[in-house]
Amino acid sequence: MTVNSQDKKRAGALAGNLAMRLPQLQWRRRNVAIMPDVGAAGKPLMVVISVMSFLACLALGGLVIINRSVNDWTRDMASQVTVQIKPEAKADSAKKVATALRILRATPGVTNAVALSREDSLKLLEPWLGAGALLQELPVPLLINVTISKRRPPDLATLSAELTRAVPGARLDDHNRWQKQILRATGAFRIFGYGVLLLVSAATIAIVVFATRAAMSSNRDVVEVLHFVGARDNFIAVQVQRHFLSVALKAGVIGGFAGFLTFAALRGLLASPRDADGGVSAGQLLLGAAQFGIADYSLFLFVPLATALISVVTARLAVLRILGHVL
Amino acid sequence: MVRFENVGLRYGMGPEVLRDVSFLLEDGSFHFLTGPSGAGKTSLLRLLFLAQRPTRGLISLFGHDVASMPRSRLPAIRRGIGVVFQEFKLLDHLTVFDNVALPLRVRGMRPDMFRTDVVELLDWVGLGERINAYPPVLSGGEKQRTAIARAVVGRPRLLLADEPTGNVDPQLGRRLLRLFTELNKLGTTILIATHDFHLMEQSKAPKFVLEDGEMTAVP
Repeated sequence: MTVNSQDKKRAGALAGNLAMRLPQLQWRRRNVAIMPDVGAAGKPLMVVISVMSFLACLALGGLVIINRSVNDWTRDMASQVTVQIKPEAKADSAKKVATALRILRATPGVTNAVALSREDSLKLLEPWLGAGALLQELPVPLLINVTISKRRPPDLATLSAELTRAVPGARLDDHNRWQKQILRATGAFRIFGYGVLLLVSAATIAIVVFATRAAMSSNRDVVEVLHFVGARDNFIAVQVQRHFLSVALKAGVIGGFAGFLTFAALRGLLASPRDADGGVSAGQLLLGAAQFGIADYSLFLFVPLATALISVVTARLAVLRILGHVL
Repeated sequence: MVRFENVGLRYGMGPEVLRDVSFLLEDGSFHFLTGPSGAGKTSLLRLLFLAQRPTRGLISLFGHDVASMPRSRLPAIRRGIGVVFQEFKLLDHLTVFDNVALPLRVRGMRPDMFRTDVVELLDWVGLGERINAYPPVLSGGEKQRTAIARAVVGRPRLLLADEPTGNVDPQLGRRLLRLFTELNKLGTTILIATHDFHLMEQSKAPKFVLEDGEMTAVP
């Protein structure tokens, strides 16, 4: 046998050998993970990030409800003013109401003015004072509900002065005091909501930094070998990021789903039917007219994405910082 | 290819472990590095595979001054160096195949680009039947050959081996030496740090002897 034919035979045997074993490797279409899942960067991290995502959902949902309630309240209040007239003898009262209505209806910017009957006014007090005889004896002021144009509102100061001059005992209430108090209170709630979101994000960043350090520490030998075989910092960072992306996405989905369930349950619990007298439900008392709508749940889809983004960026920066201290 | 000029190394405020070390490794040469324990062999190797910067002196690798090179440029130089560690440094959670393929993966190659090459190389080092085994179940010799396969899979210009026969029997030691000789014939520059006099006698390659941090060349 010549050398050439021996080489050909060996090459043929090697090719046959490879052909037999390559199918075992064919499933390796993707690379296996270089960084093993260990320590604090594994399941404990997923639990903590899930909780953080859930808290973020609660804060986010709370902010949506607060913002919507504020918008509803301020919109209603901005288009409504009330005229109160001190009660006197029945004949005088009717005359005063008629005068006030005439002035109001003649004022540009006033779109509607309706006087409430004494019965309607008493009904407003019933939830607080009850429907007893005491209520009937109370000197309840006469009320005129005034709707004003939002685009071209009347000059309320001039209108108030004119009413006071023409109708003794009349007072124009533009709800400004209430509006300011509500805006102040809801502003505080808003800040609180954003603060919670900020704290949750900061806590997530701190946890991911801690977990990245733990992962890098427990995988020091892996990082060392990667360096020796010529891996750039970016390659090592990508290996770590991949792990954190997977953990954060799963945790974000778990936390987001828990948030969805919580708001769905709250919606079910609070959306009780109106009371027998047509009053508001408990949910409306707590949350105002605003409710958490179906479309609002789509906000929770951003929670896993934001969690993943925060985790990946944080892990990357932490890894690069650690690698920057080694040769 | 490799040039050391008056290289000194000390750790922290301690004494110099390497003093005025100067030598030249020509392209395609084969050398042994020997000396008693604690003489500074491992420190010298660490300088060579860029795990350490010298305290003083000049180190030139492949024509680049690596003593003062920014760390962002070191990976490109490291890719030209294959290292076989005495303790192997295999990754236990990766198979033999994945351990050997690691240098190619860090270069951005996909499995379909290197699968055949890695399997062929594993056949060449006699591990063709162990491609899917994990390091904890390998024998010392198999681990050593896996480490060698990983060191050469990227076709390095310089191969460094730290006590490559320290954990294997004499027969396997001779086999590994043949492997290094074959690689050297293919053009790889080789430096083997060893205490094994039998290994050095078999090869007749020139030696560098380190003693108390100072180096002498023995032709």
